[in-house]
Amino acid sequence: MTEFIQLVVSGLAIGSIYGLIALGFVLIYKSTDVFSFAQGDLVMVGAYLGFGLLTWLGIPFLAVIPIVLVLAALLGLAIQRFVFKPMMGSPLLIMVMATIALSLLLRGVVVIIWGTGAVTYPSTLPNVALDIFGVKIATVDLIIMGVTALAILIFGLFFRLTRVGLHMRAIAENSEAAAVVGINANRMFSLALLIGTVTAAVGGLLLANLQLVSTNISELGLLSFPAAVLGGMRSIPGSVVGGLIIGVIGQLATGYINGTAATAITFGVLLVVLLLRPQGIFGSKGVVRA
Amino acid sequence: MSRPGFGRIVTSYRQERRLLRTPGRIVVLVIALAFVFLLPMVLLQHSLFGIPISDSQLLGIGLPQVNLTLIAIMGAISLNLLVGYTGLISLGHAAFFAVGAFAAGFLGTQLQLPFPLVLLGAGVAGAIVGLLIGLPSLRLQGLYLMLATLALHFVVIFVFLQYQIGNFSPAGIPYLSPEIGPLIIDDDQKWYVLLLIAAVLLLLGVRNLLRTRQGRSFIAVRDHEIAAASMGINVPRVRLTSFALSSFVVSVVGALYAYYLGNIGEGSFTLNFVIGYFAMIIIGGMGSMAGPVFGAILWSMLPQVIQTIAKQVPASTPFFGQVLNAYQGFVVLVIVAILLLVILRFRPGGLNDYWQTLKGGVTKWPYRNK
Amino acid sequence: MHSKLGLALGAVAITAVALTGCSTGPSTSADSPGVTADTISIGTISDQTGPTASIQLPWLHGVQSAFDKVNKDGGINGRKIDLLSEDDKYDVAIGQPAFKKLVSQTPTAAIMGLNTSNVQAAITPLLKQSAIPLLSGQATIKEAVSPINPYFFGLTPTYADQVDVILDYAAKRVDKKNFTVAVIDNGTASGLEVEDLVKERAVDGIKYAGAVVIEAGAASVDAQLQTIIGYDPDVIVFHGTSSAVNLIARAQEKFGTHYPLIGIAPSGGPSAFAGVTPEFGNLYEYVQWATPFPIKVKGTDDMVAAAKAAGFDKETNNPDFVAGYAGGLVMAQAIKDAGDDPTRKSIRDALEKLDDFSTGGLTPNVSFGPKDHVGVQSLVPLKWDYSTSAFEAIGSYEDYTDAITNEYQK
Repeated sequence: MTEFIQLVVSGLAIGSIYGLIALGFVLIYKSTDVFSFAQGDLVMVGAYLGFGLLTWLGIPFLAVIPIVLVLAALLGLAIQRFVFKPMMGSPLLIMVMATIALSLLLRGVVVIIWGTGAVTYPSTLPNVALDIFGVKIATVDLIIMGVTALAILIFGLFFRLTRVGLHMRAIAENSEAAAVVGINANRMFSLALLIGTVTAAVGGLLLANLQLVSTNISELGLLSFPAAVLGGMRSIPGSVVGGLIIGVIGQLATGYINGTAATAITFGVLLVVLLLRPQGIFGSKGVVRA
Repeated sequence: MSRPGFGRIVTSYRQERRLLRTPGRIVVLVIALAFVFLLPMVLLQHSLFGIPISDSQLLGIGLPQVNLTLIAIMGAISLNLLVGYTGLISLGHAAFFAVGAFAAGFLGTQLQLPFPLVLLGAGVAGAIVGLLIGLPSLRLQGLYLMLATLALHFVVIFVFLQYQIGNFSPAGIPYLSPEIGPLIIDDDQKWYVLLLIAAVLLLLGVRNLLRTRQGRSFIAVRDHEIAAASMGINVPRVRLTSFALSSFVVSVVGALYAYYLGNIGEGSFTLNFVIGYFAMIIIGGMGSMAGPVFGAILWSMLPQVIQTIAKQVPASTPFFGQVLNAYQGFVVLVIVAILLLVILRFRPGGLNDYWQTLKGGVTKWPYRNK
Repeated sequence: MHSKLGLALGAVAITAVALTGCSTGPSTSADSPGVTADTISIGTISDQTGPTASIQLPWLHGVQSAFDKVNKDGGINGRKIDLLSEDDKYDVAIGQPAFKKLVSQTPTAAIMGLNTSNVQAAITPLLKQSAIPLLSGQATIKEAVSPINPYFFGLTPTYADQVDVILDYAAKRVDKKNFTVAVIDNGTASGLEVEDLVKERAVDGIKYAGAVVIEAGAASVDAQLQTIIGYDPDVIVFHGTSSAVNLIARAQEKFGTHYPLIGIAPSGGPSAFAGVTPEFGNLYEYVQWATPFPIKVKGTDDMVAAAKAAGFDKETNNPDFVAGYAGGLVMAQAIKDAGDDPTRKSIRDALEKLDDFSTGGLTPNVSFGPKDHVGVQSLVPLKWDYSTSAFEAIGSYEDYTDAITNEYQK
């Protein structure tokens, strides 16, 4: 039984990262209707930017965090301006391919600058293993879960209580009607991209503390799709819940069956969800059938 | 009497019905045949009518690359049928290649069935998988279909790995040289002929398909489902047909691919493979016949071209030299990505757009192509 | 209507016949492709820009350094070596045309590399047809040496050999003759081969507990470590990349377990130890057949000088670099032995006759023979010294030669 709980706890820890990535992804999708394949690569960029600042400029980690966030925000704005905005309203395939092209571009640039090998952060976050009732969890894991919870809280409050949040929800609901009432759609889209990129960068910084940083990190972006679909493509709390579930499923599958099957099983779950309940857990029916 | 519009004017009904309508077409056909005929000789002997050509002048391209390009062309055309002409976004391209490779391994290497039968079997297997996945998922909207086929990709690759490990060796599934009657296809020249014929047949087949009622219903479904339905087109059935047909063809191409390479392991079918084909049809121009051909040629030849350029640039050139030499593959990646973004933004019709403009300009000369 | 169809079919048929009829063989200017009066071309096929480039690129640099040194010392019998390196990007679809290119398009006298196992599997059957010898660089798959392929020479020990040495050393490390072993691999085909090899050797008191897969790109290995804890092995045989080793070390830190790991040759590298405390990082050791700097043997100084001259002095502490350098030395020797007019065949024969060739201690001595196409017959475990940031050898190559059973040659 302890083993099961341990797997679940580990799954929640890794699932928080998936949730964080999926959150940014769903946010972008909800606001701009663009399905961005580039989310995983933005995580990678965040991790590498952090690495660059830590090692080239020797800046301590606590100072690196805000700098990376600012850089990520700028990157998000640039993406919105040069990639998303010109292609608003294009058919789905065009948008998807544009984000794929973006992801290839990011990957290529990262390798050209930093090479293909794995790099590591000099120890940054405190990493002590805690033992709670026989279940092991590392402080890094707790920090990650904490950050994700904080993110949900902040976004929840943001969307509910602030004016800008309200505007964003309006745009997501119906961009034409929102424009009619005087909400600047472009500005909202830029904001969505900005937040999405920043959350991805945060995910990257956190991930870099768990493992070696390499271009493989961008593959985690792939797992955020099942997370987003599970939660309901337009629900922000849903995306995080979806991420947690995917994390747990992955760990359980790895623990009880084996590692290769885990990816197949995770995507098998996605397939089943798509066929039986495509709107996910929190999504509303009717938006999905052709 | 002056005849404006080189090669365009047809002046009698009988002329209209002929296969080679105008002098222009005859000229084009002769040039095409000459090119196709001379290409392998030029590539192998490195000389044209006695004039020697160096390897770098040929941009480092050899017959093996041409054969792989032909396979890419076939893969791109079949993907285009599904995505460009029917509007269904499927990320399962690599999965169907894998199905073809699996069928070739099972029917060909294990059961030793004759080659044409193996190809047929591969196609049938692909069509079955296509139907199985198509029946439930084609009711979903574009985005969700895409995700469903993404899931299919991972599941199929996993199954393929199990099959490979269980029946063959970790090094991969080996394929023997195909035999058609008395002919054994074991060198690049013979493969060239086989693949060329296959590619031409496929091209003509798809082009003719699109002129039939069935084919036109694909396009109708892509353009406006509701209007198509109101015209009496059974939209779900049309989508299913397109999916099954495309899967059939892709699996056959997958089998050919496996035979040509001689060895396929689970690492051959990645998401990058799928993305590559999408890049091909988009850069080439979706929803057109010539588009996938252009795209496939560009995608297959670009790495070679970059490599040849890289050899000319000495490693000491600031920035470019080092980057080109150490990270060629990624330079190619960046170039393709930028190309994609530019085309998606400015010329969604792809290379085919430019080609049509060029063609129009030539045939309508001295009039403008408006 | 019939005329249209008939015309079309006729065109196709004529083209087909003409093309097949006119197929000419590749024309080579001389009897010895790749050899001119003052140069000899040697090709390499390896992953330069693909996923395993970080392991294979240093190998290529080693080969370059060795050949540069040979050229600087005057070449071989008056000829300079011209290195033509092809990139296979870890993909058979790219590796296979690259091979064909090195055979006939830009002909070479011999080829080195094929470090990507899938590519090696695809190309080995083609070697005989093309009659060109190949010296492998970092991998030797089973199918290439059993049955013996006259044109394939595996410089690297096979996985079977590596597992033999690993288990022999494992007994010493855990100080028991009877122990339980588990396997961690990356789930690819070669990983599963390692699983099978360990399973086979689980006899006479060695118990096989099970295997666990860590896929490339995994973010956390908690679940895998839990399974391992369930097996409770004395030692773990590891197959995978340094990223996975790093993940395991961190997981062991978290769970407080101290399972020792011994990895196969391509799995190590300095990056495996980064970001982990020595207590847990040093649980991992791996077997290698190339001696990195600063471990000093007879040939070390020459190697370091050659590396510096070629601009790769930072890579001398990487066993992959040394493996490439040693491979270059072996190939240069074979060319020399082939005489004044080397051909593909004479180089092949020269390779096969190599007996106890010394690379200055950088690798075990290299021997080939008509019945044995695996050149290096031993490995040595390496451990990482955190204080000097360098590898240390545990024993010498001679200590482990007896452990090898030459499984694939039986």
